[in-house]
Amino acid sequence: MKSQEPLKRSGIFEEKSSLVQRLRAVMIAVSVFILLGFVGMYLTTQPFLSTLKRMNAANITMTSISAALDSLETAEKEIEALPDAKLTKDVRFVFFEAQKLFKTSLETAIKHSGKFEKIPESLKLSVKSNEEFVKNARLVLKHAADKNKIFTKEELAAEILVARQYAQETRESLRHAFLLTKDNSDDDFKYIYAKRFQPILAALVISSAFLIFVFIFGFSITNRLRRALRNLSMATGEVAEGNLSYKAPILNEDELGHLTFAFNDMTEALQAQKDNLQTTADRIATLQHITGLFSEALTPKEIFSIIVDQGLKAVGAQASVIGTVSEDGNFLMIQKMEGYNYKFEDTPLSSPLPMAEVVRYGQPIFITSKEDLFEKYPFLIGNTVEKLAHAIMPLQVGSECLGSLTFSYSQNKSFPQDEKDYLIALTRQSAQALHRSQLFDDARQAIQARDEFLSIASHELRTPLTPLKLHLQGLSRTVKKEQDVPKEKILTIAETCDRQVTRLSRLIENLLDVSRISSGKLTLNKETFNLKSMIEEVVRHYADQLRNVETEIFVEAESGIEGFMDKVRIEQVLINFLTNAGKYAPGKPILIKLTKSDGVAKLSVKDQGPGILEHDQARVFERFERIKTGENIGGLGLGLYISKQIIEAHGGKISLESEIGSGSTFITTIPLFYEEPTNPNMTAGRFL
Amino acid sequence: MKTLSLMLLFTVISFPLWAQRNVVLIVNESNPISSLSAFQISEMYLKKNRTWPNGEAVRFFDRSDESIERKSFLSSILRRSSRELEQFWIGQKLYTGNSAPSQLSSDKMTFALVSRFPGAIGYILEDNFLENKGIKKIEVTGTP
Repeated sequence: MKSQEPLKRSGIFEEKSSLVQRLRAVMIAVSVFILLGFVGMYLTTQPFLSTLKRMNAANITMTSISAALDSLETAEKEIEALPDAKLTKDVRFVFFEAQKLFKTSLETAIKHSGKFEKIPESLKLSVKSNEEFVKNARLVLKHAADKNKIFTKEELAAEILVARQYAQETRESLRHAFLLTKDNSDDDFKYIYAKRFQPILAALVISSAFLIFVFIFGFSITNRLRRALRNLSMATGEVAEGNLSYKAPILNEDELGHLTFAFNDMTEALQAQKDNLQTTADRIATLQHITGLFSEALTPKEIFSIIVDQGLKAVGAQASVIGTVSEDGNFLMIQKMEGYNYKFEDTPLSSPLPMAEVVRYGQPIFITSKEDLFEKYPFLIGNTVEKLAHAIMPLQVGSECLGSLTFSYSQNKSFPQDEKDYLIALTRQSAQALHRSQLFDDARQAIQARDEFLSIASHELRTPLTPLKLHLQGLSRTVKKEQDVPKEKILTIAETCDRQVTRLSRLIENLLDVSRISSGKLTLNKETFNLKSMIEEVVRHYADQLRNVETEIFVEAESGIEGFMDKVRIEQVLINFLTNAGKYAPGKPILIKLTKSDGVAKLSVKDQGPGILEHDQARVFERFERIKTGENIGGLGLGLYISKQIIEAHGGKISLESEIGSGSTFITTIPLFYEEPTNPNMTAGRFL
Repeated sequence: MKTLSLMLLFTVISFPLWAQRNVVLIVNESNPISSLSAFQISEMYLKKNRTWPNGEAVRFFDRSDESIERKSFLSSILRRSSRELEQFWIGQKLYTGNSAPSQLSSDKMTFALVSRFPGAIGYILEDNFLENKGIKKIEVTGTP
């Protein structure tokens, strides 16, 4: 199962070009083209405008010259007709009126002829000639009006000729000017005519260039837009159909490319989220599956198999090992391992190894690589490390750590947070399943122990009852059969019955003590007494019984040791020790020692029995535990358990020193004056 | 019939006679020119040259169309017919604005106007030339 990688962007998109800028450039180019068009049209039509202005001026000049010629002709005719005119003043009037018109026309012509070469010169000549004409005409008019008739007709005619000569010169100048103007106008017209297509051509050229530009760039831009949008549209369709891995091609490094890049980024993120969700769903399903398997498993062994086998598949590891804390809490016992080429040994919990560390501190350890391992655990440098990455987790139930679970990988691993959470969830499930299996196992063992106890108890209880019943039945038969039953016989039977009842009573009392201890209702009735006296009293009381089995008791007790204890219970402990010694080492001497040190009394009972194996030494203080020696030794196996509870209730400790073949020494250390905990009742002890 | 024939004969015979009658060119006495070639005279008459060397405007005075002086002038100096001139002046009027020189009806008018304008030039029959205040005769050299 792949782990969830953190979501990350596939990169940063660099816009190396810009569609917006390109469009702006096109708009600017269009504007420039339009401006160029205007400028081009202006420049191409400007000569036409100038020429048309010239032509207009020429027209006005020609018109004015024509008007001037007409006026001149009128004036000349008047002068010419003067000799035959009836009234000189009429001639004068017409002449000068004509002259006014002439002057006005000429002024207009001169005004509008400024743009032309030579024409103003001709017009000025005509002005000059006309002045001479007028001057001579005045003379003629004057002479004509002369009542004295000094001048002859010939003289007058000559003067008229002179005037007319000037008029002719004026006319010639005007005509010359007119023709020049006309030539200019014709030239202008030819010029305009020759270049009449120029503005159109200019407009065509600019329009064509503009169209080509618009076509090329517009086509390029629209094509680019169309392809990019089509790709995006296709990509959107693919994504809508669920194909999140589809990547739209990035055609350009502009805004559209950026948009496409962002789109691809988005789909990549969606795909990653989908993958993450799928991974999470897969993990949940896996956990549920494993939980289902756990629910079918009953024993810790079955749980270990499921944890390792299923766990390896679930987390994708190549090896796994599971260890549980030993009963004494000092070791990590390897229960199952898989995938390693070496064998894990049971490890002390004080070991610096990570497997032990997680149990001590209750926190998981994730090692990402060999380098990480050596960095965290330098003492492992130089060792051959088979796997590279490891996840070591405590099997924690509440505040209790049951052991540790390790998954190892053949490649380096970064252990992202979601994977850590998954591993921890799996470990938690495993711990709970293990805890349940242990409870089940304990329950099964308890039931088994209970059954065994019931079997033993029924046997032990029946043992004294059977002879008791037999003796009583025998007595009954004897009394019925014999009239005089000897007193000794009755006494013997009675003593035998008494012993059996005592034995039965003791057994029942032990059972009741166990019940009280289990329910926490074993109360201590403390008093101050002398321990040595108590020992001697017990020895005296049991001396006869033990003498029957040829067992001698030796006492080495310091005097003056007084303690505040429950005397009956302490006696019970001593009696248990002596009873066991008598059972397991009959005929061998028993040594009782009593010493005191720092307010603590040390009481030991040593026998010379066969001894107890080391692995049985802790067990003897458990309920219903009996050492099997090959001999059929009775008892419920409760004496030492009850003794341990009594001593611990007094704040003391009980221990055993034993060697095979050298006997056993049961040692108790009891504070002489012990302050009980707040709850005066004894603690209930280990309770399943 | 006879008379008519005689007259016709006389005209034909006399044509060259009157055609060969000399004309003299007269200018204003202030004009420093003393001689002109026929070509120069033609240029002036046709208004192709409108200025004297001294800058004075040329004013050529012609004679009436049917006058002997004009005929003689045209044949001896200008060497053009009246019809040709007529067409010439139509063209000139159209294309240059120039009009034909003013026509004078008599020698007296010619004298009066030539003496009146410093740049004037005219012609009269040699026979009719009189020394006059204000005018002088110039020599005509060459042929057009």
